[in-house]
Amino acid sequence: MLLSPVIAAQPWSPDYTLHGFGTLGAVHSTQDDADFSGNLFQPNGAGKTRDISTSVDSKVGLQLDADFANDITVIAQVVSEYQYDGSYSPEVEWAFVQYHPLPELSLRAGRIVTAPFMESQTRLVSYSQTWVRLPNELYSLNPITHKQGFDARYQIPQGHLTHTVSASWGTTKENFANGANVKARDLWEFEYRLDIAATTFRLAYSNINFDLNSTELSALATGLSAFKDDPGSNGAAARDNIRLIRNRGGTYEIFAAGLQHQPNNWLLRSELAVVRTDDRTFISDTHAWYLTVGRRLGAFTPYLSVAQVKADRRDEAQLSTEGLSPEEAEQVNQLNQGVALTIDSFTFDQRSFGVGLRWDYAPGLALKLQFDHVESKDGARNIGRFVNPTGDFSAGNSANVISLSMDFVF
Amino acid sequence: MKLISCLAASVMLSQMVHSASAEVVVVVAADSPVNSLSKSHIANIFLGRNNYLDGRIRVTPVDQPEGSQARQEFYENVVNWNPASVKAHWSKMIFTGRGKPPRQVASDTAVKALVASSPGAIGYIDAASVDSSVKVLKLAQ
Repeated sequence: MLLSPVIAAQPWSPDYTLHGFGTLGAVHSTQDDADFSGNLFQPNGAGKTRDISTSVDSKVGLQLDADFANDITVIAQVVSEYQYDGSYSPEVEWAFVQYHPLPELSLRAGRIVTAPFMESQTRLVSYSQTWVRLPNELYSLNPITHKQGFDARYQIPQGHLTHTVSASWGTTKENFANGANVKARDLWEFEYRLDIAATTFRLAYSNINFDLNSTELSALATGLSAFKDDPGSNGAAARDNIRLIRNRGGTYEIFAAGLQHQPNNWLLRSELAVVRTDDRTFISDTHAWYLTVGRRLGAFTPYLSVAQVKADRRDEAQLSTEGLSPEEAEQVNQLNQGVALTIDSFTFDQRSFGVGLRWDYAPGLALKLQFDHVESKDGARNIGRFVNPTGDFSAGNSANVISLSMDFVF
Repeated sequence: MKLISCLAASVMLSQMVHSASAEVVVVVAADSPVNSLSKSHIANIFLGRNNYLDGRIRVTPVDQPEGSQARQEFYENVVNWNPASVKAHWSKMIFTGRGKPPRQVASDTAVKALVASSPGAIGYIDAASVDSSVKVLKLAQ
């Protein structure tokens, strides 16, 4: 397993290495009015749609590395997991050329990873993580996993410290289950990472310039445009709200800090992220964090985890009904409600408590059992990180989620 | 209760393995200019974070088989990482295209053969297997 090639690569006849990873998982959720899903792109999951869902966590990935002489590597990774369209169609997760002009400098171009957070690069490789899945309160702040672009990374060993700096740029488009899509026109990422023995500190900044498209948002913007030429305050309010709702060229900045500390058999992992948006998007400023503590006892690792996502709701302009006919007033009320509901639904407020046990029962194989209590805050109208809600799902709802999974790598 | 006794048994078992183990030493080629390295430098080499043995010599770390006593000893006492953490570390490195784990060979004899013949190679073997083809490194803290 994980053998590296023994014979040195020849120019233009590369050494190939095949690696694979995967997860077989089953999830049960006590919440009947919405689905617990593995990410925001999945159309459904456990709870409302199925009592026990295998689609939330199950996935399989294959990676082929082709090592050429002259420090050039071509890597392609194909992953099959439950997608926005309800299929498991394999998708090319990454495909890039990597060149090391110096051992400590790496340059890559092609379809590369999007890594706003500490574990983003191996988001799909559950084996490499303690939990069944990454804490989605934080990781769903940026659900985009790859982009077309390039990156550069420089690693500086200094005594017992290793500094790593990297920068990347790319562009991408992702589809959501309801027909909506997000197009990241410019996605910049910068990272500094410090490794000291079994401790890692990480600071990262992402800047995403994006368009968010959906038929609901377009319809709402069209409704508002009936008032945009009004010379009074309603015209200004309509124009402000159209800009929010149309989401053209919105800016989404993420500041993230992470710590991983594993002295002896203890394991501590924590991340904090703050999202800042501008007034070209209805998405509110948001912050999220998690803290996980675990302890290795032979092949077993019991762990505890707490996570939260919270947003400061963005203010919108209100159109006034003063002096309007009853029909127009009704229309204005509906538009005001539509805008408010759109903002509310992206004003996330959720926290969760988890307890789990990982069992490394053979090399390259891990079994995990995890219990999560997930709750969204009373009074908020968002659905947290759930998907596919019924009309009866309201904030203040909670779910108890039990997950069992088996991870493998080869 | 069954789970707890199972956990306790596995902890005891891992401690027994410890007490029964022999001493592992870190070796380079006999004619290498390097005489000593810090444990943290060795750890960084075996975790893929440092590409140099010393100064300008490109390093090639050599591992023993997974589950072997030498490997267990080396990672727990020199690298100070639990073998499961090491495995998880390399699965992260592989699936980001960021690196490959050290080359793996079957035995002390194979480690010696490889280390003796390549100037940048570094490995670990049982102290009892040391012969004139390799040099034992002094470990600084």
